[in-house]
Amino acid sequence: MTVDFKLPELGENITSGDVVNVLVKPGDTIAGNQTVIELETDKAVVEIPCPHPGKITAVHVTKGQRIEVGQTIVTVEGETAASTPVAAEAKQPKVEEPPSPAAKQAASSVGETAAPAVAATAAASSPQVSAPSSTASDLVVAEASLVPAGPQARRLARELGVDLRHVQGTGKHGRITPEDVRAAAAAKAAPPAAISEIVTPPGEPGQDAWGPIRRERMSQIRRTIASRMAQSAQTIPHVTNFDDADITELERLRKGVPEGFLGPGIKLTTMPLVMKAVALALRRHPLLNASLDEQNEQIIYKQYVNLGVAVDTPRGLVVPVIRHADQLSIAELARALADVADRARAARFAIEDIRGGTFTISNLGAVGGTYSTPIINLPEVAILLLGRSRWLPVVREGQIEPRCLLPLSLSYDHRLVDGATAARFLNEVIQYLQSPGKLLLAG
Amino acid sequence: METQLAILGGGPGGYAAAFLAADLGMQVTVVDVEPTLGGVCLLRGCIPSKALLHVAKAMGEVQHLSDWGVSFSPPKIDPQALRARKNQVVATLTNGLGQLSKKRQVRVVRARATFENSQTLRLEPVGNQPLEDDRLTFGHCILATGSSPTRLKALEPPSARVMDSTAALDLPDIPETLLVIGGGYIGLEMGTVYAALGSRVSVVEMTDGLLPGADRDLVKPLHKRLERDFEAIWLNTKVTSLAEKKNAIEVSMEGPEGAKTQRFSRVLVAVGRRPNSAGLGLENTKVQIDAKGFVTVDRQQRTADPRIFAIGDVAGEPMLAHKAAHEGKVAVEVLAGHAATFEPRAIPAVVFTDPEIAWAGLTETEAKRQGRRIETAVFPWAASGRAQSVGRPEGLTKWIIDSETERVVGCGIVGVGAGDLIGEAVVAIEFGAHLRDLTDSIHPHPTLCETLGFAAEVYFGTATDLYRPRKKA
Repeated sequence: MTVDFKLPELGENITSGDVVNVLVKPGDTIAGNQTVIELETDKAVVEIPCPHPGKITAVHVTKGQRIEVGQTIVTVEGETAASTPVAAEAKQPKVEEPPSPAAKQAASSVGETAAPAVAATAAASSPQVSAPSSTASDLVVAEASLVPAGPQARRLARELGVDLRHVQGTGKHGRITPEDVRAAAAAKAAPPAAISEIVTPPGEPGQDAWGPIRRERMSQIRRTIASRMAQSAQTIPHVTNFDDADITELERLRKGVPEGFLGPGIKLTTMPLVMKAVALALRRHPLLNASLDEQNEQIIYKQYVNLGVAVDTPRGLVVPVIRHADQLSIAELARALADVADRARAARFAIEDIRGGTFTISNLGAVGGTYSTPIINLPEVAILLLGRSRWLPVVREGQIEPRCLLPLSLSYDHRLVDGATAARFLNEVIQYLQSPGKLLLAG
Repeated sequence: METQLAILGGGPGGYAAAFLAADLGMQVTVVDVEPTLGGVCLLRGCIPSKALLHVAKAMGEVQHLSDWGVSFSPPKIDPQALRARKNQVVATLTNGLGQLSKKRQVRVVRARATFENSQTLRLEPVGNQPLEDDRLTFGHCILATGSSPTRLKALEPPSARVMDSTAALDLPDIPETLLVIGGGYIGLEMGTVYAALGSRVSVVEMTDGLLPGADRDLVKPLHKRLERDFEAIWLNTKVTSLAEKKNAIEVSMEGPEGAKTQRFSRVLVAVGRRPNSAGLGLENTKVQIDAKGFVTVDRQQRTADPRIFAIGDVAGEPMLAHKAAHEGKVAVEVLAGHAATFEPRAIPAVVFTDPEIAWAGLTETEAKRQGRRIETAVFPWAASGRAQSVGRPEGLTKWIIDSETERVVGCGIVGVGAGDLIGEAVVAIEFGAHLRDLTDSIHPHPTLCETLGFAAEVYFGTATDLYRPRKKA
């Protein structure tokens, strides 16, 4: 019996992806649940397994092609064509991510999936948290002509230079009202588009008015990063506190740990120690481990600490999440970090691995630099950037001593977190780092 | 003569642009070969044809009353009186336009104009009217010269019995037999008029269906009725020759059943219209014209010449008066420095036959061609109380829906008054309305517009007046 295997639902808000690799060709025999393609979506590469065993009679996609949920990938001639495994594959439990209007849209898209169940969950659940869902819904409403904005809203958008694809509509069924457009324009710093700016297709490839150029298509990851960064920067009033942690003692401790003590090939870097300090400090400063639900005027305190760790990969910035970091020992944190960083760089990921974070840590120490103003990873409310530690002369009890200082930059959402709160949290993190005994004993 | 804004062509695009420009404070001059504003639409197209179609429809309705126990004796038709009354409609409207242009201080010059360069129009007198000046220099110009009927030059003999739509609207007589070449909206509308007036009308169409481009389910009820009203409808058939004979035109055709020859009192050539871009001196400007004769414009109606805009039929498809008017307004707003762009989501089209057909936005045919995933929801008028009350249950209302978002992206209606129902659909599509916006908006009962709400309900499988449960994916 011949079956067309279509791209199943990948999770809420994801409706398409770029084919990174096609692993089968016509004539191949595949087993049940064998990976047939690798797909890049939303900052991660996922393997797409085909549940039907049998012989591939046709491959309908090519490397580099953008495909959509519901699109046929391969045709298999097999023993049984079970539709239930496909449905089970597609239905992913979404407990971490708060629901959004985009979820409902994704659920109703064409595809042999358990759509009613997902839709019901989305409909019944608690209030939406704004930003990530609106950024993700950019993928759903990617086509400009589907943006639900009437002629007046579109006219205003033109006049005020607002890109409607990035506006969250507050009207019924997500319609963008003229008020939404005005609000988006006010939030933007950029001046309105000049009247003479005609929307024309890109100019001559390789040449602009001043010399040769080279155009390159933005990858899915890059586009996602771009829109998420813009969304965060536009929505959150960022303030950054800078400080240093004296890690002279911590370094002594760390360097004293024998090679391979935590596991084969696992080096104890400063990072797991910082993660532990942050996780402990977050337990005592829950406001920095929360999210803001402005629409419902509520603060969502997360009763768990999931630390996102920014990893620089060849594809771009990826932030895998280590769950329940407050409950892991330093050794466990080191092992989790190593595993997660390896998988991120090799792009061996599930969408689950990058969701559900409550706080993000970015370590630029390996690269260099001291302080910076990191951008908060919505829907979180704070992010900590580590610079490269350096030895500096410090005055201690009237004497100048060389000490090893780790530069810290804490950006926080000033809608929710005030300066003093942020400073107290950072002080606590620094306390732990400056007194390794406390860090180890805190458990 | 000097002017801030020159508008070449006083049709629905030209005068809409002129009046808005004047309202915004610009100094405007409209140049047209006709003695009045109105263009083809008012003088030889939309308006006169709708007046005649109104008469045709009324006659059809009266006959149909015999079903209801009310019988009339056959009507007496006075073609002269009919023509005069139709001309009166046109005169009323052209007078109105004349008044409006006076009130708004829009200068209207009757002349034939050609471009001498990007800033100057050379004017030639038409008829007896002397000209103030033989040149008009302008700051900017909007080209709105419209279109003309396409002729079959190779085939047509020089005979008055072979007409185009303009000649046909003049009602030279009521021919015994009429062959309409071309099954598009113009041919079918004119055919409807003549059939109502007593001619035996036949239609010959090259493609495999009437109204090519329109969704087939919308054409079907009309085709069925036309089979009753027309003598013959020949599809997949091509006209190979026309020859003038005594009191008739002999037509040779080639179709699926082979070749045939037949004589007709008159022939109407309605095979399309082509843009009026030749003979205007545009080669003296930077304006570019494409292979089909349309002037190339961007979404702000600018041509390649920075001083010249183009709108309406001469600027591209669809060749519709309302599209011209909106483009005209965009061009003027751009000139006034507003952030205007012509980017409608739906341009409605109406075929004024009986039943009428109207559609807007994405059609099923176009969606298929694009390979775009859509769903449709159809409400047959047989289930509509109003349609049954007026004895016209053959219609249907259909929404074209974007599968992912459940928003309406197109609409098609066939039935009496479809042209007056499509407006709501256009607004819904422009707003990116969700189907629920339509089901939850209360439509009055019993009307035909409530079929728009009903069709939306069909999508959810819960339409009250129709048992059509939703198929599970």
